[in-house]
Amino acid sequence: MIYNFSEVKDQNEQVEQRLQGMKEEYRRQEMSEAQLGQLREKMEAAKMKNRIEYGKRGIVRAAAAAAVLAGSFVLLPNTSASIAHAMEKIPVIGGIVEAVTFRNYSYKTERNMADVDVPQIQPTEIAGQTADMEVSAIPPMEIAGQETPAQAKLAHTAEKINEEIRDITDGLIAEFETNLKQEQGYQDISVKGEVLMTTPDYFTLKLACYQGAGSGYAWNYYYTIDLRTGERLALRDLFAEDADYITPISENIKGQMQAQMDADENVYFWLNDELEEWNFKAITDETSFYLNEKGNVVIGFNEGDVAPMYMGTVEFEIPAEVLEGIRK
Amino acid sequence: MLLFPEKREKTNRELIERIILEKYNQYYRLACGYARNREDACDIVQNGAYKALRSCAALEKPEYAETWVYRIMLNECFGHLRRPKALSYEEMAEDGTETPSAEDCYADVDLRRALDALPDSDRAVVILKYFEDRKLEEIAKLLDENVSTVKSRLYRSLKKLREILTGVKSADCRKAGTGR
Repeated sequence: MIYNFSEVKDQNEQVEQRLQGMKEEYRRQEMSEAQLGQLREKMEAAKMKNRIEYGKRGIVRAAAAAAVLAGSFVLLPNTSASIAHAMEKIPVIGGIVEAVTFRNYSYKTERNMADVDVPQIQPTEIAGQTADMEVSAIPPMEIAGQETPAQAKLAHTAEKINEEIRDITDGLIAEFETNLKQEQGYQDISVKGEVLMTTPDYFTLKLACYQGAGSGYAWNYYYTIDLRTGERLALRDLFAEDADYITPISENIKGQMQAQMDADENVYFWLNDELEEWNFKAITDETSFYLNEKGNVVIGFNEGDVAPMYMGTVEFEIPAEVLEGIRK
Repeated sequence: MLLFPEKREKTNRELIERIILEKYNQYYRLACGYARNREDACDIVQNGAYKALRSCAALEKPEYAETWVYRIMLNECFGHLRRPKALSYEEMAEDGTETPSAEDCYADVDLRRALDALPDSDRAVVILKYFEDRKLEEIAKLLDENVSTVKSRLYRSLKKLREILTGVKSADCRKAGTGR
């Protein structure tokens, strides 16, 4: 292959052009799914070694090993809510709604760990006895025992939410079991329900999920019911019609992010990042939220939403004064 | 300040994990520029990822995590070439037992072979500059060299590529031409 370019400069350009020509082919090279799987395996192996070294999760590991030795795993599917209820004795929250663990799925081996609670929301009329303990907390209209429209609505809302929760947990468990059959990799899933401290007017169930396979990912769901109407509460329901709540909330969050970053070098949010498209710009109507004991709006983000994964799930309490005048 | 190595291990590990899972194809492509086949390239990335995660507590400034991981990968690439078990392309082809892998089926086979003739670091500069579109400053950071060194590497590499491709260095050229 001889090129008859008299000028060295031209020859350099020729080389550069040929390099440019190769770029596309270079960029097309990608790992196959199987190769990515191998990479994830290797990463898990490194993490396992780290865990041993740093003594983290030592107890869990011991427990897992014990389970392997015993050749057993624990599986407690509670097919009936009443049984689960009897076992759990979760105190009544807010008087007319409570959460019970409907089903628990757990599995432990050296490589696989699952701990999934399937909480379900129950209006106390259905739950029965337990409500008596907290009679004083029940608003007068419920004591009368007449089913109000709000209560009928409440039963319906609860069932809707329960369905959603079952879909989420069933999906995770199914995925876990598929991975079990394939017998490769490490996996770790967990789902926990938690009733958040709420006002008498609102009930919020937080569903905290974690799925680890390759890399771990944590995310939360918040289900809030307006106990006065029996309806599921959306963020927009908290504000006067046509009021712009997105902007003040988003701006306040940005301010909090900056303040936290300024105060602690280990805190990092995607706010002024080079990668413009990753930066947090505004919340949406779908952004998770709940109301805390002060009645303030708390916005929740899943892992990786507004910050690097290592920051975990993050929450921002929006001070009441920020939303003054537009809250209903 | 991080007072507990466990805590640093965790935050860094999660950060590094995210970076690897985001950019593994970038590392893979880089490795393909040094390995002879897909499997070797994969090994390089796997080993790099393993080392990065195992030593993540050593990373002092999380903001340099990306550069840090990239450097580990580069070192793996360079190290791979020095490992005796890696057969060269010529050896495999003449042996007749190994067929050229997908990576070697570039339309411009001559250029691919000319690139292989470049020293480790010079090749990295060319790959980063022309295939990954990195700025000289970025390349300098990744290779832990100053910009003028990178510039001279680039200049030297282009010269060498030009020589090989135009047959000025006939020995190299003949070798490249008879490889198959």
